[in-house]
Amino acid sequence: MPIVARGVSHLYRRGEQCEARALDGIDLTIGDAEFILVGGSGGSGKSTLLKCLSGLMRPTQGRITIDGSAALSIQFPERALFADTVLDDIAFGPVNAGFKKGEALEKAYKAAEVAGLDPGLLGRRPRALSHGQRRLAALAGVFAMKPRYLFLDEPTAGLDPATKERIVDALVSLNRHGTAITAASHDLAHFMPACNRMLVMSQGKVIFDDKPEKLVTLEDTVGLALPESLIVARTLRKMGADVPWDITPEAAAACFRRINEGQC
Amino acid sequence: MISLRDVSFSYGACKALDHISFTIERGEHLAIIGPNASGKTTLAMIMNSLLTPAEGNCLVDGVNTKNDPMFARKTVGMVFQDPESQTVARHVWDDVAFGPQNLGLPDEEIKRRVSESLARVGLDGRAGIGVSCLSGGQKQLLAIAGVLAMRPSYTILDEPTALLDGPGCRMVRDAVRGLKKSGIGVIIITHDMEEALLAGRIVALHEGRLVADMPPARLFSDEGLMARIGIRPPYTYQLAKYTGAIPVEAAR
Repeated sequence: MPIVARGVSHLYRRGEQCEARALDGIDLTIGDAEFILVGGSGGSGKSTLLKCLSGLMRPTQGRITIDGSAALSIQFPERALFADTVLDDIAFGPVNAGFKKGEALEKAYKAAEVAGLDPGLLGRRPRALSHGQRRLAALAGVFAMKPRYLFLDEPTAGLDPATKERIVDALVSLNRHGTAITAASHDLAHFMPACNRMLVMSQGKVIFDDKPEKLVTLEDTVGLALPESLIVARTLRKMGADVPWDITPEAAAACFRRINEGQC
Repeated sequence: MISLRDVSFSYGACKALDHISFTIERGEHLAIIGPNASGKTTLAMIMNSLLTPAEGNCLVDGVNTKNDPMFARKTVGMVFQDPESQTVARHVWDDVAFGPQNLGLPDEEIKRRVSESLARVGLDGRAGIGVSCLSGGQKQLLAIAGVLAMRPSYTILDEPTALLDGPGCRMVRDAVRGLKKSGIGVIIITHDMEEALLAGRIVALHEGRLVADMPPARLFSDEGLMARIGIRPPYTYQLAKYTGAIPVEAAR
């Protein structure tokens, strides 16, 4: 069963001078095993949408139905690590859900593996980990709950490119294991090639809902600034070259050269 | 001038900075890059004396942070990554006034500093509104205005655009250019190589050690070093290099 949102609106500071409509009549269905990227400018309603869909917040209007467990990973989840060891932190969710310690630890080990966290770090104190490792540990804690739906708010913010790639790989792997993922992010370069559906929000409304490839082909990319790699790929495709969306600069340069020489 | 001389710092058994030495002048624009856990933020905290070097010294305009930490905190401003976590008041004006008020300045001086700082980041006209009514980009500008009101000689920005969208990034980058023009030394910590390209000089850290201190063009053309520290040059820069059609300098 999917998550279904019907006529969902949300107002912040209702009745105050700077009342803000964060969501405005959202109708949306999130199916099993989808990997959705939510894009849009700051203040367009992305975070509010995630909070409402995951059940953390009740919208001021409309209805959301959900069948199955949902988890929400907030911005900077690593700030919420609290146990004495990384392993105990990851296992906290399953222990709390009533699993015996042994089973919970087994789930924690598996979740750490899916997250791509080095097993050598599991016995350490969370504070002894680097920023990127703490983010992976916090996400492993979310993975250990095996939610059917996972919502993530800017999961790659503040990380170096290698760690960003590791996180996106971990999410792809989790998605293959059957978790539907919805991630709000400005990091289009990493998420657009990984997701299979993209939403773009503006002023509380969903103004684009299609495959990410479709967005790249649009002349007006609904206010989103595309990463350079996608702009280059789009230019080459317009010139008739059959190139992948995540084309490397080296391959793009070679292709430009072939087009110039009339071979492409 | 901020001068780091053989600075080392450890968190318990974990060495975060390993014999770092470099200087930055007022009016300079320096980018600090490096993978997560390379010591960037620790270095920033040493420079404005939130941390004291375990070994070596950090001198801010000739004053050792070990002898007078307050001097460094007043002289070196700091803007953090998360626009939500660095505002202290409900309204824009009060938020910028908080720092100068804490310095015990007369009301007239506080008023002057707040209006000037808001104007410099383009938030004049928004002084009376609630902080919660600002966008993420505007909140970062507010944080910069709060630092400017303290009249720092240097400002460190720790990944100021990591959580912002395209327009938000542009707002902050324009504000950073303004800081530089006004003669403030700007130190920007970033993973965004397009942003690092805007600086005149890049300091690269790797596992707590300083592995490069050079102009962007020279650093990005050193492929061996870039690969070793896991940093990729900006896409546009690489494309310019591989096509050979555009001189590499033009990518800046």
